[in-house]
Amino acid sequence: MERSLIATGIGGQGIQLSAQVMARAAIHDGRKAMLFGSYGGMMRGGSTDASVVLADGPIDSPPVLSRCWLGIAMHHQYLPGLLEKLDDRSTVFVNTSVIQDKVDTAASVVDFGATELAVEAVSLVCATMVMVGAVAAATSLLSPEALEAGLAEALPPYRREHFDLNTQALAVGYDAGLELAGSYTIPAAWATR
Amino acid sequence: MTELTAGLATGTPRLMEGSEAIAEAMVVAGCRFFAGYPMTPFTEILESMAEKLPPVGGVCMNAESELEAIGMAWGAASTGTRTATGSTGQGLALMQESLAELSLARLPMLVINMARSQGDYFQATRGGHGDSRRIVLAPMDVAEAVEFTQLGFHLADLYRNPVVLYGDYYIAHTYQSVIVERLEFGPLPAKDWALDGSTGGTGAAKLISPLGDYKQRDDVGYDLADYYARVEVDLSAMETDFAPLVETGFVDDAEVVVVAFGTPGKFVRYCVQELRAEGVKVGFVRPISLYPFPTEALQDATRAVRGVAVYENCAGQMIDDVRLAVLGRVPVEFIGGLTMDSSAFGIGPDLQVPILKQRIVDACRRAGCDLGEVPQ
Repeated sequence: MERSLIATGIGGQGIQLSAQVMARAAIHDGRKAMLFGSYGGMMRGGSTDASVVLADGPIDSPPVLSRCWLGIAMHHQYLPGLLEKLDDRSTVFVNTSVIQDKVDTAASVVDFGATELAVEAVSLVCATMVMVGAVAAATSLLSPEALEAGLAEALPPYRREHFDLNTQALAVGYDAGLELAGSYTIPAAWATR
Repeated sequence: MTELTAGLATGTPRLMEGSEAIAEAMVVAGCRFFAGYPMTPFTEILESMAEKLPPVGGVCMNAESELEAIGMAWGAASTGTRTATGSTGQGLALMQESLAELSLARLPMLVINMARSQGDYFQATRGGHGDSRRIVLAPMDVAEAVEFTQLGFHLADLYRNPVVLYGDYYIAHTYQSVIVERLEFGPLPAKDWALDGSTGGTGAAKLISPLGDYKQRDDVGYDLADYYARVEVDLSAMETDFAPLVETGFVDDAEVVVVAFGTPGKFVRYCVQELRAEGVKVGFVRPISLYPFPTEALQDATRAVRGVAVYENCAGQMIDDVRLAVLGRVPVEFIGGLTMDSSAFGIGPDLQVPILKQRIVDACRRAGCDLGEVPQ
């Protein structure tokens, strides 16, 4: 079983870091992972997306995804590129704090104000990490322990001081994700955990 | 016969970017000298080697050009040290003279081409002057790159000849969970040819040169005819001994077989799996050793097909080898073409599963397949 995800946003939101956390976390859960990030030359404000494939066995999927099981939409700026890769079997988590228009897609939409929750409970800079926690909990994609271990590996040495903040963001997001699972019909990522 | 061991490694997997994984695979394979000149998408391999080699007592040189890089590698290789260099196709172009002369000097070396497209196929499989030849390995992803990097060193030592690893931008920059640990591919001959510092007059001096492994009297020099004839025998023996590496899938009852290598091979493999699930009788052949080319496997796979389709991210080069294998028995159609973004570093915007699937389906229709209810 392969589960493919695409996370999109604008440079600076933490899309690439969040993808690193998810891929590394999956390995801690005993799965295989593949990640291909694509981003413009600009550090902040440019397009950024990351394709992540997690699997129970060897990964057949090529590195560039043309459709995905799950979408993470953090910003409206580069959203159309993600929407093209969703179909009626996909689920997309939409950061409604930033994306205020209704998202036009055949996929199941989960509305989640990740940025607002991050500002309220942790810090603005952790919005995408809050989203990752929520996705992991709502879909059972990744265990909370694996997320923390993945974060520890993904943070570069010069960002170590942000470990606690991001751990908190994952935890806040995880709790919110469990609530989302109660209000939406969200498919489980794996047959067994 | 070379047995592949992918998937047999038992250590702890780690998420590694392809470039770093290749560098680490070189180090665990025992590579202790690396030289190169930065060029996308090869640069990160050089950077990783610069980090990884000194702690294990190795040396990594950022040379002033690719010419110097392979020149430095000559020297290291002649001491019997496992040695590698690399670049992208442009840099490999500068290395072609050395690559050919290394065959004549019988020096093992891994030469990595992190190519910007698949247009370096001719260079990789036919490059260099004279009668030189070398094994070319083309992984489809990071996991295979880790294995083939190590296999490359083994084959280089086994045949005392350079081996080319043909990678690309995707392999360089994709992160994948991989286990990098030393792989064993069987016994190797002792490197009794390696220079050990003994000089002339000691009775222990050895000669490594593309001109010969002995000199006659000083006023006569080398006997090139004798030496080249012996090298030719050894290179031909290499071609006979080495069983070409290839992956085939769904070929038994296939009406059309698609041929592709490297990362595009991984795309095609995936497309064929999906098309099979949709009822299209299509199979794939993925050459892993581009030289020697898996001619027999391709002949076997295409014996009963209506047509062969070739995908390459270039104007079409491997298709010549496919045509030579098929020898006109069935039509061979090119369904590839150069695709790259504006940086031209190797991202192919057309390298998308739906686009490739459509091209394969169209090729099936042109070959006369009855596709029935297939959606496209």
